[in-house]
Amino acid sequence: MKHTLKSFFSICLLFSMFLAEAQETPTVKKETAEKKTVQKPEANETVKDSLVKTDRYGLRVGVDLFKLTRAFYDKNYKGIEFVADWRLTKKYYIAAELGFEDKTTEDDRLNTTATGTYIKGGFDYNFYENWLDMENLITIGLRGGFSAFSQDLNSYKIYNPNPYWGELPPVEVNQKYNGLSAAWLEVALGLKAKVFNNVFVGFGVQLKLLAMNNKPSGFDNLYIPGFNRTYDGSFGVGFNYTVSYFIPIYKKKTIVPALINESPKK
Amino acid sequence: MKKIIAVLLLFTFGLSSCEKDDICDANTQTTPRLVITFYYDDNPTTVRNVSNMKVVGVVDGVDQPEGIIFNENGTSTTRYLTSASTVSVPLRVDADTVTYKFIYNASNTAQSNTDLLTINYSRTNTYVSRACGYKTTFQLPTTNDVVYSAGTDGEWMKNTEVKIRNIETENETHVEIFF
Repeated sequence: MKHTLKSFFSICLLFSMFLAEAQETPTVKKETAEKKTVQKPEANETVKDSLVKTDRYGLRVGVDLFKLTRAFYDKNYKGIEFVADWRLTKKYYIAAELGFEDKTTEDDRLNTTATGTYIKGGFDYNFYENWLDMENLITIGLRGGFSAFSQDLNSYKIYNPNPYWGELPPVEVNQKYNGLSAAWLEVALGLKAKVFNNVFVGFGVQLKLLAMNNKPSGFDNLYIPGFNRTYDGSFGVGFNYTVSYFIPIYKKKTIVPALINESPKK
Repeated sequence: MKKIIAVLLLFTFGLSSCEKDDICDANTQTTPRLVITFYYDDNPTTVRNVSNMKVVGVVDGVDQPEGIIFNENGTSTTRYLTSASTVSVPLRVDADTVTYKFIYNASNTAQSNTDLLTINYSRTNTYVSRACGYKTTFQLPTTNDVVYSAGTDGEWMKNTEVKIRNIETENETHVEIFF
């Protein structure tokens, strides 16, 4: 968990750097706009100076490598997550994640295994201004998540503040709680960079807020697939590292006013 | 957009301070002890202080090496002694019966008097939280619940009475002993 948080902060830092950059762009635009008005009398010139930019629209599908590779070094974890997004407008994307997790949690006093599938759906807003034909994304998005899972209580320890008769070994129970479900909202920050052709590599962090939690009677949901570890409150955090492939379906042309406008007649 | 990110950052900092559910809070109600209060036998509404009493667990007729510690700061002998009117004794979470030796005036071997107290009960394990795990609560049966007997010397206890049969907290007296 500490690891996840650490990476979260470093990514936040990364974001803040981009923020500064994002702030620059509008001022450049304003300048262009001003210069455009100055140039207005020579209407023919402006058309020539404009640049036609094609935006590609389509479906991006990928997989979370963080979850996929975790099974190699963490014997208590098996999981996979597929990610997909569909470009709706220039800035907005419909996004969804579908996953499966099987995680054994070894707490000091409890040993539990949560197994289940989850689905998350929502949108992403890309606030990164791309240069020319670049297609990178820095997104902020909202998701609704739902998970259906089961929980296995493998063993527990009895807490006795007065261990005069000694500490008891863990009690093996193997009690299975089926038909559990949970729903949550999450704010997702993401970064996707095109590495070559249509292949994208991305990082994402999510802050989650538990909205519905169907607990077993006499026990608690200690881990919810897709939501991750639960805390005393209803907050949660998540992290993913994705590799995805973009399938272009159609193109849209946008006219971008060019920056070059020193009057050539001088 | 910058505002949203600022809010999110605040969020995370707040979150990191919420992670304290790994340690079982001492105020959480976990496995309770049996609370015994002593009364005058001839005046059963008045509490009576015991005198330098030591309580030692007994398993199959063999004494435990140590008594229950009543006074953490005491010396090797006085830490096991109490002169209060109420004592709390832990019940076993791995058996349905427990026997204690109540040694009255334990500091003075010439005047000491040992009685055996056996408590029979049934147990229930209940989930508390991630940090605390489970707790055990106890139920005393309606018959044969608390049995006292003289040790090798005479009895100093005269009578016992069970006040509360469901032992879930340590806030109230479960068993009254008259002497």
